[in-house]
Amino acid sequence: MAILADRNTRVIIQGITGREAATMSQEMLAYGTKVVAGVTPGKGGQKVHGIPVFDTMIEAVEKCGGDASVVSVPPLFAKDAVMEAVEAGIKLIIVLTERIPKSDVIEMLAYAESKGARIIGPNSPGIICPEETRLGYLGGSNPQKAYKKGPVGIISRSGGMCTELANILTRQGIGQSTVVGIGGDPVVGTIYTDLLPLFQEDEETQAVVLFCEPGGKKEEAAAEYIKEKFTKKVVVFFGGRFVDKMPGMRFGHASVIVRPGYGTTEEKIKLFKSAGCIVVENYSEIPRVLKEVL
Amino acid sequence: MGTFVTIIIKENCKDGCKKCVEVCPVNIFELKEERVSVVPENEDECTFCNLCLEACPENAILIKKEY
Amino acid sequence: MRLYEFEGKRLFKEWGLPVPDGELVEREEDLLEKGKKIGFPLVAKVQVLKGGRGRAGGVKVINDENELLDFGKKFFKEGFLGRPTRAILLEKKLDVEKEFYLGITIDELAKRNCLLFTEGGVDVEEIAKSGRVLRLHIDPFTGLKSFLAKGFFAKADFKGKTLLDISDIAVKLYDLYIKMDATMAEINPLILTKEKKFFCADSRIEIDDDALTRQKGNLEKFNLPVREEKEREPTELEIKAREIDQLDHRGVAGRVVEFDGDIALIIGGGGASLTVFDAILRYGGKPANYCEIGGNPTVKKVQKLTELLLSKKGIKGVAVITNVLSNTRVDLVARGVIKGMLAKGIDPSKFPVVFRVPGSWEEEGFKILEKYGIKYFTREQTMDEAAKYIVELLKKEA
Repeated sequence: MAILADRNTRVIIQGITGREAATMSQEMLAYGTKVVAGVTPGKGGQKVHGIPVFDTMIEAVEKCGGDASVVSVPPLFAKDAVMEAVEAGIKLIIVLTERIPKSDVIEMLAYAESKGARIIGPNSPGIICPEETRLGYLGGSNPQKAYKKGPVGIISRSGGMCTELANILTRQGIGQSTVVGIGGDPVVGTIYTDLLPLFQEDEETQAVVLFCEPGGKKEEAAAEYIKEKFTKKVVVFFGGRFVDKMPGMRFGHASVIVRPGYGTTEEKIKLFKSAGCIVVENYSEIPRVLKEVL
Repeated sequence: MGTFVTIIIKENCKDGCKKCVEVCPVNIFELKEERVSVVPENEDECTFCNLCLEACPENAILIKKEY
Repeated sequence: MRLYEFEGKRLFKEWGLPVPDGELVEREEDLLEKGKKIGFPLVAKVQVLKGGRGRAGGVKVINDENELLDFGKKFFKEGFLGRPTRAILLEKKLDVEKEFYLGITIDELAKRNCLLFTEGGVDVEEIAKSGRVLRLHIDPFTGLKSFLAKGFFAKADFKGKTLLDISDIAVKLYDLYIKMDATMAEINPLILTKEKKFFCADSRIEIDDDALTRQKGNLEKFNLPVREEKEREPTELEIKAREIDQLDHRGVAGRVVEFDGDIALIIGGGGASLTVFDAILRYGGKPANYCEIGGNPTVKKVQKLTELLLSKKGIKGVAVITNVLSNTRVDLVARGVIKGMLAKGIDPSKFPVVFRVPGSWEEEGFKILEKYGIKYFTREQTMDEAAKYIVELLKKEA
């Protein structure tokens, strides 16, 4: 069973009339996602690829129902869009937008938490439950090439690496249960430790692959949780081991920066290993390692 | 002529309508002294979205791949 | 965006936080005049955007004019920690009874802003490891109200007037932090003098890079020029790369960090760039740069980035390697890179190049690569295999 959403999840796309969102909506529909409505304030009444557009989330939910939303709006409008979704009763919100001011992110996350809503992102490529549903843009115009249904969960700080890792598994006949891009920002709504309990509960998932990076403490928290509470196999791959040697320098994602002894891949790898995880040096080893435990 | 894409505006173009100028998302067309012409440095930005082909009432646009 | 200590103190003053009397010396010739205004002994502090100033001798107690002149001459002429000295701040020396660390930053695991406090300033990383740091997570909708601050500091054994004073400082610091869109605001050390007065002896403030647009008014009001700080000064290549990335807002073709190598890397997305860079190193290759492309940048941006990376001396090969691309088009990346190579007079069929760019519109992309005689890998091969290929190709050609 997919852990966050499945073929019955009714999805509303916020910012649907934007150029990228319009293409994404079409792809999601083609994949079988139940996109029931879109919201762009001021553009109510239009249709995008046959999807009705509303001015507000409340109206969209009233007329079409809604369980989850995908937010694709400019950074300074994102907080308002997310809070509007929470207020309308949406319980799963995927925030694609990047470069949202952090105080806005903190407010939207606190608000969502207070109303029992889960936020993935910001700066997330979305989630995909292969052959069930896709929220966001993972896999682009042909997700069926890289993603296939199966027993492995994937959690990644990088959007591109979600598809890259799924691709290498699928080529070796190993499918995925749910793939989640948590986003590359330092503060995001859902981190490894939020998802691992869900994968632990999920009967379909037999193992989990983590794509990790230097910087921050998300991996340290994950290793601690895995040591105490996670019984399924975890395979870990790090990008950016070289960053350990250059403290204070940021590479790419806003969160990829280390200080001496803080947030280094060396430290994270040590903790994962002592928690019983398999840490591979080359991601092409992942299928072989998984085949031994599946 | 671009390295990868060449956009040709045929003679039956009615320069006044400038619909192609309005719809192209990468500014391949421009109006220069009442005549529509191609902006050479943007030709290779063409994504084959075909909005110009759909918009032109005279079928005056030809998109040629150079590969 | 990191602020200098003197800029942070300018904000502290505006928000009513107690700051020692100080004079900012921006030119060596003003040292004596300003030093006399403060009076000796004073503390002289080199203004830099890098940490580790104290340990590197950038903070000194100065007892007389000659010492002051020596200190100034040294740092204005030689710079400090590899960068030119922006200014020297002279402050009245305080009669210190106790030192504290007080700061506000984001706790990424709690997903909240967090007030941090501990006794003993400066080497807070040591103290943090020992676990003696007190924390207060702040609900963004409640904020740091006075009663919450008082409750927190009472637990830290403050009483009477000092309890009120330090609570007030925390409340004001939080207000500054929120109004300026800071991601970090530290007073380290926060000093309690023998007269039981608090002073913010140092200031470290970082403003959210993603909020710089909406903070434009405040940045102008408080005279805080926008800068992009790196652990070292950006190289000319890096500066040019940033200008190219800012040509238009569509996608990213930049985040270049220059290295001393001979393989130009055109790589993406974020996690994949990190993975490819690791792979090149692992196979014994020498990258000439790190970079990132993503979000479907224009052909022009990719072309200009390629031209720039190829303009570096000693480039012997080009690796164009990405993860399976979803929202970036393979054919557009191919166009941009090839145009860049042609513009530099390079024959893509002869120069050591490898492409491993699978994903959206790859059929068109591969057609283009075939026409130009470029060696490419598909999604059937990993990014590591492509990295290995180019490193070994260069070893052979050497």
